Order: sequence, then structure tokens, then C-alpha cells
Amino acid sequence: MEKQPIDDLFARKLREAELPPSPDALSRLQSRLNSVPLPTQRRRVAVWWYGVAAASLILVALFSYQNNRSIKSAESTSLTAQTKKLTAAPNHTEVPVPLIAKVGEGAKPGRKQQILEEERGTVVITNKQRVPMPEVAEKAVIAKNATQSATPRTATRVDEQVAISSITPEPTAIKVEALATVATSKLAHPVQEVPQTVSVSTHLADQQRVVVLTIDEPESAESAPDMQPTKVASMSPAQTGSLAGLFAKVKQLKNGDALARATPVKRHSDARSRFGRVFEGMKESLKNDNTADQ
Amino acid sequence: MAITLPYYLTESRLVAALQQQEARAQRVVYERFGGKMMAVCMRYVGNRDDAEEVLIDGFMRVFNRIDQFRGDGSFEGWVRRVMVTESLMYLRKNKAWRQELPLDTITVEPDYEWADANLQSEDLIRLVAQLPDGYRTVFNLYAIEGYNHAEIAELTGISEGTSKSQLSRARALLQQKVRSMETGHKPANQYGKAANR
Repeated sequence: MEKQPIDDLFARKLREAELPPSPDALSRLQSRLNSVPLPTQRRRVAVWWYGVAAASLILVALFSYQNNRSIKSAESTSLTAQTKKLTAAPNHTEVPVPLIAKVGEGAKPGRKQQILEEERGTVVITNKQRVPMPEVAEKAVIAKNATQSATPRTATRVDEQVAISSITPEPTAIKVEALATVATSKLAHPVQEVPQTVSVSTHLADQQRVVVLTIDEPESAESAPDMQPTKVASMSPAQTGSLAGLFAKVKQLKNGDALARATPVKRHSDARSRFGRVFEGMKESLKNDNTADQ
Repeated sequence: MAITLPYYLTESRLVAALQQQEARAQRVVYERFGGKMMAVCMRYVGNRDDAEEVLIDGFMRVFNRIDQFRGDGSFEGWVRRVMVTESLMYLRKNKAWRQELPLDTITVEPDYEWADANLQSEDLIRLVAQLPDGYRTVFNLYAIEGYNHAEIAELTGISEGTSKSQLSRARALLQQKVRSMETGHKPANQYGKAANR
């Protein structure tokens, strides 16, 4: 396509035309160049800011990580210290331990207080940890005998027993079983079974502790009031009967009769309590078993 | 006899110095291309003050976007394209340059030989500056810069048909102006008023 003459005229004349800008145009350009940061400078600033932001983020992350770690380690050390204290508590035989047994005293102390008390050698049995009456009776008797004993070794052992029972809340049957095991291991005299009376006593002879466990039915408790702990004696006959039955059951379990058979019980003419009759029935079933085994 | 050598012997050295944001190289570029680029801006913008503003903005763009120059064409051509783009941006922002005026039929063609010999580039710049914005832009892009209608349509956002019609109207107006200058009297029509700034 042929170029128009007017286009050619203007193209030739204006293509290389120059029009000098005003003298202050250069200074305006320079001031603009100085005021506005150039892209490379902006890039440098941006890189610097990104670096600062990244470093601060890393610092914050490290700080929080270390904080968490220190908290965790503190928790773990406190837990290990607690467990150490708990495990070390029964081995405090070398430390002179005042033999104080507080049964069901005051308000409930916390776990820490209990540990502190254990460290000090004081055994605290709280209201919460109060055990059924036969066990309380046992403890009371054991503590009494422990205070009477002349040898510190024996006393410490008794204290250990009480301490164990107070720290680890176990079912009554297990506690009684444990005590009974201790008693039977150092048994000098055979267990005398007197029906319907519960009492526990210890004898010390020739620096050897002998624990004699006597289990009586509640009916004969009146005949031997000295052997009964006051709390048990002061209870109502129904309560005493139930407790005695429970204790008898425990004893039966100890003897190996896991499930008492419901053998027909001979009806007694005298006015015995229901638990007494149950106890006799159990005894009879035990005898039957023994004969069957033979 | 002292020989004064230009500070940047080659274009590549100049570009490299610009990429390092050397103030001396920027000054050299301004002094070397300032006049030419001022003429370009004046042709597009139409008045000196605005043209200077566009020139400064264009140089700022050149210095900031120097990394975009790949060395495919001449550096001057790249700077010119930057200036044209900056002028078009200015016009798009500040002017409503799509107006179309009724076209008078040209009865007598101007004597181009006389015009070529007697009219200076400043006169011609002034004549172009008197055109309406749309006519001026299309004429500049088509006749002087060498773009085709498709490119102009893409650059300016108008259709190719509009570009063609505006070019023909711009030509007619310029012919009238050259003819009137040739005959030595001012054209007394509406285009002269409209294009007068």
C-alpha cells in the first residue's frame, strides 16, 4: 500500500525531530529518582524485611518449643520425685521414725500433705481411707503393740505395715489377707478359732514378733471385752453381726473356699443372729469339703 | 588537541550502567534522548507542560524497568516505545479521545514540496498537536511510528474501523492546515477551534 504524501511529509520531518525539554525537567527527574526507591533497592529492602520476619518466627518457635520442653521436663521430674518418694517411703527404716498412727483425724489432707507426712514419718489415715471396723481394730491393736514393743526394729516393721495400708488404698480383703500373711509367716501359735468373736493380738517373745490372729464371732465378744476394740464393742448387735459375717467370709476366702456353698443349714434352737447362722453354715460346708477331699 | 570521548562508548555499557542504577548513566540517557523523547510526548499529548510530565514519567519507567530491555532492538527504539506507551496511558487517563468530528471534503491538495522545504519540524509538531486527541493518536501511531490498524486497535482499545476513519479524518485536517499555512491564511472552520489548545 502506497504511503500518503501527507504521512510521508510528517514521518520524515517528525521521526527524528527534537524538542528540548525545559531546564528544570532534569532536576525534577533527579528529585523523583532520589525520592522514589528504585526496584533493586525495594527488592533489597523487601529481602531484608523477609529475613527479619523469618528470623523472628524461628526465634518465637524455638522459644515456645523450649518452654514446652522445660514444662514437660519439670512435670516429669516432679512425677519421678513423687514416685521415688512413694517407693522410698517403706524403706525409711534407717531414719528414726516416731511411731504415731493417726487414725481418721481431722480434715482430709491432700496428696502432697500425705507425702510430706510420710517423709516426716507420721502416718495419716484420713477419713476417706477409713477402713471397715475389723481392719481398724487390727490397726489399733497393731499400733498399740508396736508402741509397747521394746525393739525399734519391730516397731518400724509395724509402722511400715500401717504406712503401706494408708498409702495404697486397697480393698479390705486384700489388706486383711496381707496382714494375715505376715501373721502366719511368723506364727508361733496356731490360729485359735473361737466362734463369733473377732480380735487380733500380737505377742512378742525373744525379739521375735509373733502375731496371733484370733477370729471370733460377735456373740462371744461379750465374754472377752478386753480383746475387742472399743469401736466394735460399741456397735449395735446387727452391725457387729454383719461385720463378723463379713470377716468370717474373708477368713473363709483365705482358707481357700472361694465360693461358699449353699448347703442346708441346721436350724438352731437358740436365738442366734442371721450372720452367725450363715457362718455356721459356711463352716459346715467347709467341713463337708474337707471330708469330700479326704 | 584534546579528544573528548563519550563516557559510555557502547550501548551495552550504557545499559549495564543503567542496570547498576548509576546516576551518571541516567543523566547521559536523559541528555542523549531527552529532546527526541520530548518531541514524541509533545506529538501525543499535545501541550508542553503535560508532555514534560509524561517525559519524566517515561524516563522513570525506563530506569526502573531497564531489566526488561533484552537488547533485541536498539535502545533508542525501546525508549521510544516506552515513551509512546506512557503517552497513551496519560491520554487514556486524562482525555476522552474517541470523539469524531464531521469530515469536510478536501477540495485542493496542499503543495507538499513547498511544505517540505518551508515547514520546520516544530511547525509540524504544532500542527499535529492541534488535532483532536483521537485523530492525533492514530495519526502518530500509523504515519510516524509505523503501526498498522490492528496494532493501533490493540494499543488504544478501539476497533480497526474506528482507527481507519480517525486516520483519514486526521489526514484531511492536516492537509487543510498545511494548505492554509501554504496560502498564508488561517482556516476558519470548526476543526481549527477544536484542535486549538
